[in-house]
Amino acid sequence: MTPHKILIVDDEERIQEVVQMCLEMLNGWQVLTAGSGQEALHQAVSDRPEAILLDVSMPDMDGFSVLHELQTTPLTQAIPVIFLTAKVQPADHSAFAKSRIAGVIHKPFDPVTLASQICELLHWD
Amino acid sequence: MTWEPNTCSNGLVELALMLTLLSALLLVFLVVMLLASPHLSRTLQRRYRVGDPWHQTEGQVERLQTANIIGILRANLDGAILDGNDEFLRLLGYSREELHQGTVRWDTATPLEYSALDTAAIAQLRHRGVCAPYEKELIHRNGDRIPVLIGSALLEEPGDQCIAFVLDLSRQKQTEAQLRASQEALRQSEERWQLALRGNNDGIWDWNVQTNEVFFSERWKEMLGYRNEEVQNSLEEWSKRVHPDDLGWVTQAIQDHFAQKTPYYITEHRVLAKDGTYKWILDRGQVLLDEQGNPIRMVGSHTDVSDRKQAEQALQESETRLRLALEAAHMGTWTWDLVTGNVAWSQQHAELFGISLDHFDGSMEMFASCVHPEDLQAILDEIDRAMVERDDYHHEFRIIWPDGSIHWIEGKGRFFYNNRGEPLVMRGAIVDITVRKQAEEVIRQTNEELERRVAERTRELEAINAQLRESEEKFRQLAETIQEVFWMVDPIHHQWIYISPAYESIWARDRHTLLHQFEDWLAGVHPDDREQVRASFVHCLSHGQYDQEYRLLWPTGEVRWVHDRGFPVYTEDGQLHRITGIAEDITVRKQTEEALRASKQRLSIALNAAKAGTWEWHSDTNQAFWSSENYRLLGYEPGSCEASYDRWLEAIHPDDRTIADRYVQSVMACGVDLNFEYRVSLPNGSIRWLNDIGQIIYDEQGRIKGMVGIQMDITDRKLAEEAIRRNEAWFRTLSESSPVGVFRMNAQGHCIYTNPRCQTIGGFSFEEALGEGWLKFIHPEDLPSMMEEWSRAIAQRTGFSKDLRYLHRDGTVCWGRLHTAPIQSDVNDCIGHVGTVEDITLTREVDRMKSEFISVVSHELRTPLTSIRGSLGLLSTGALANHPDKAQRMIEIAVTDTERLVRLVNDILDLERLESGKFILNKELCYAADLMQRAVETLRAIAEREQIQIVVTPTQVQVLASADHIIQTLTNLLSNAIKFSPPGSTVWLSAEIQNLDGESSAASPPSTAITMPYVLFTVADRGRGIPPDKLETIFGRFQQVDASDSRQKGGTGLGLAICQSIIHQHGGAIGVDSTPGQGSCFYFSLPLPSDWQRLSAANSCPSAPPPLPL
Repeated sequence: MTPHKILIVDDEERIQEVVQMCLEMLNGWQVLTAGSGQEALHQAVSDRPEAILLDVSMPDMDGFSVLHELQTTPLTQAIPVIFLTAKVQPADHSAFAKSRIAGVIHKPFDPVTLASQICELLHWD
Repeated sequence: MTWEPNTCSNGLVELALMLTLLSALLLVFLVVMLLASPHLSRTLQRRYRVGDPWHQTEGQVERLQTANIIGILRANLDGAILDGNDEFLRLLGYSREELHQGTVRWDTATPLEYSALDTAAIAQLRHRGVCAPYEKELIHRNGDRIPVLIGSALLEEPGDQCIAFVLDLSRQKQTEAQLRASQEALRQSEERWQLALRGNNDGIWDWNVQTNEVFFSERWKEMLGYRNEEVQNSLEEWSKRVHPDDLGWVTQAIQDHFAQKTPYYITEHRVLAKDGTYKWILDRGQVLLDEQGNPIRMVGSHTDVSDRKQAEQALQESETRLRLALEAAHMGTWTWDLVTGNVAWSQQHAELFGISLDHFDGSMEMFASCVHPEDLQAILDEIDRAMVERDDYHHEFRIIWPDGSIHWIEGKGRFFYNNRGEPLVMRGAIVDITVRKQAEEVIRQTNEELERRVAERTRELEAINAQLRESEEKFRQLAETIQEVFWMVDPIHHQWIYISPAYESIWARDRHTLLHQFEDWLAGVHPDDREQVRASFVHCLSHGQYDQEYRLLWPTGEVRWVHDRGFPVYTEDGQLHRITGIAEDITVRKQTEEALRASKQRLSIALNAAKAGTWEWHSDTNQAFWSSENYRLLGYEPGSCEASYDRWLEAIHPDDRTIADRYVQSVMACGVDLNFEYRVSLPNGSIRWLNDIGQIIYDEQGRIKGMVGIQMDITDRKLAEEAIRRNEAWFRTLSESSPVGVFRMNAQGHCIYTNPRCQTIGGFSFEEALGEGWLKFIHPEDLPSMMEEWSRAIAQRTGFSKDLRYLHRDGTVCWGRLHTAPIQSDVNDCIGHVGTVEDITLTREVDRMKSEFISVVSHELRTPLTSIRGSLGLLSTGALANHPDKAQRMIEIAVTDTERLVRLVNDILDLERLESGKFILNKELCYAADLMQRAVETLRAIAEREQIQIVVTPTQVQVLASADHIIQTLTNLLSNAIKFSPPGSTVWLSAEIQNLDGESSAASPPSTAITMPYVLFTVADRGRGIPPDKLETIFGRFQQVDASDSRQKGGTGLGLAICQSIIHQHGGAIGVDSTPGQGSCFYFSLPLPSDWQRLSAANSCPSAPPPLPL
């Protein structure tokens, strides 16, 4: 069984690191990282991850814009996206509900159950 | 030739007309010919071009032009008229200006039917250079058609212009028309004359007195037995035939007529006929005189009257015989010649008329003067009747003798006619019938007297009968129809003789039974009154007098009042014979009296209760009447003084007195009702309010007599009104100055009041809010829900609360918080709503900012926590036990973000403290240079690491500041400058005193207008700069130019917000100028203490130390 390949997009380098470390060390997944929306779009096309963990609050290009780009690009539109965000206000939720995403994981997340949360959202066995 | 004066004069007119026309035509021809000559054309052209002097021919044309006998125009052949002389303009009624404006064109001024003529004329012009004059019509400005004669010549240059001459033919045409009319009239007159000649049975003659030529008609000649050609047209033919005996006086008669002594010439004379006999001819004529009175001609008729003359002669003979007979019979005869009008009387006739025959002049007038004036018309009528009916005349009439005595005459007469049936003469006879008449008169008078007396007696009798009938009828009508009961009783036999039908309606009982049952009438009387009535009536039966008011009790139980009166009727010898009476229903009167009594009582009670007095004032006699209450109200002891207008005025408070007087005068003058409220000062010093209500009263002649009215104490009401007014004012002030919007709705939900605050919040005026107007100012998005809730509140009569937006005219949105509560009436009806509205725009904005801040803070706190939680969680699993380097990295991450978290929390707390308003800075005097130095020191290490040079330009001034906070601010600004500067670049820090003269300068911070000296600190860098759209918000919380800055540069996003808060706390201002890509310049000001100069002098330091390179 090949390990899951997943792309983590966050402008906070340390969060990238932590997520990568968790999924690699605890679950043996292959984790790609991107520090900006633009970088994420390139990687999504070039590396074809199985799923994308996407931060919402990013400079220049926020999570919604990245999502839109991904879903309007034929090569990437099938890739499921999970928002990994610190936005937890009710107003944020209604914005998420309108987006075509697989789910939301709130920051801070539990590093031990992160993979299982992802699997659950993506219906991975 | 017949005499035809009209022909003669018309001929002259015609001749004159012809001459005029001819001369005009000649003139036109002359002009046209002149023009047609090439020489003249040339000269004309020269004149029009250069105005050379005229020679003789031209002179004629010019005179022609200026003489205005003939219209001259210059025109284009296409129709445009270029110029024209006065006559031409007059002809068409245009001014020269209009001509020059091109208003007039000869083609449009020509009726359609002449256009063909014009076309032909133009063709002729083009072909021959001149066109022959022709008649046409032109259209005057007023639409009239003017007949003209027109001729024209082409000008050689330019070839399309012509000069035309127009002659007005209007007068000629008119004269021609008149001539034609006169000739027609003459022709008709002539025809009539001929007809007259042929139709008349008389001969006609027409004598030209001056030539003695005489026209004799055929009938004239035939009358004397001649054929037409046998008699010549000369006077001789007539004069030679007149009987020599007659010729003299007939000629005289003609001369008399010529001398105008007689209106007509009329004679009867003999004329010799062809057969040698003389015929009697009635010759009539009338002369025509010239202006000097000379006879010109005489026309007349010739009538054969021979038959009549012969009859007359025969009659004369017969008359002679008759006269003899009549004289014997005392009968007067008379003859009236109808032809001459002469009347002839016999001797006897004159005697019967009491005058001598010599005195009678034979005129009808004299006869008439003898007749009694009253009878004259009847005689004339009888004569007319006899003539019309061809009957004998028979009449009786009175005459008055010269001695004044009156005589009766019976006259008979008859008309005698000629063989053509025309009456010629009337003859008659008269007899004196005075004696007979007198006898007749006596008999007639006797008869008349008799008849008159009989008629008189008859009339008297009839009148008496009629009176009797009338009287009886009147009584019946009266008795039967009056509402009162009329009764009659026989007091001796105790019997009702008559009771009128009204009894049945007043007593509600049958009257016929009463006639048999005398005592029965008492049964209808109310039991309580019965005995008294009976006693009174018994008394009446013996004395006749009776007057009672008593009650009746109807079978229905209803009680009615009657007034019953009886009067005695005595016989001639003084015995009581009858008693008659009248009983009337006075129930209504009694009820009214009762109502009046009750009303008076009520009024009295009401007046007492209202402490009202009633008064009356007669302005004519200046008398016044006051009730005792009036006295008390006005502060007088009742009856202590005489009531009067002046007394009333005296009682009135001095401030109201003048107006009271004036008011009463005006009321009296205008005749209107009085209603006046005023104050009186009572003797005890108190002031009371009184109200007088009065009405004008009039005397029989309708003149104002005075006034009657009531007077009331209204002090309590006045006080209450005053209290209400005060209350109203108090509540109004409360509402008008309330900081909360207040409004009031009626039961239908219509707005009836808004206070000023409410209007400000809603953005409407008082009037605009009224009714449903206020709804128009609610934000469209909020209106539907508002309407729903508001309708529910009205329906359920509950209060309601809502936050909603008002959209003002200028587009601003104002949030309002509405609260309403229903208003209950005394009987718990909802009579509307009262509501308040608060402006919560600011509150909502603060709320929004707060919630946003919390949201951002939450996000900012969660971000470092994510790293910490993640790294520590991973470590705790022990999964990294075999990977010490990775474990180490995770620990570093946890530490770094923990520090960041601490900074963030500190900044948030700092900011919260600074902005809470509760935090007071500990300010002290400190040197600006020192503060700058210490800030730079703090950052030395970082600057060195980043290879940044900090250049400081300090100032040696002291400021009153919290040193730590100013250093914090400077450090923050400097660290930002270092962070965003490229390595190797410079950051400048400087301070300088500004606004020494106390005035605002251009360099002062934009956010304040500091008018006192201050120190301006500046931190400048050559970094990337700030985009213009961020300059406004950069001092806000979490408003970094780039959100990632906080991560990469270690900032929290609150630094500048804290700086701003600190500087504001110091009373200074902070700001930034920046050009993207070239750097930023942050600056802030600190106000200098008022004694800064003394402080600076006391610590004399070098004012401008050299920059300290770091």
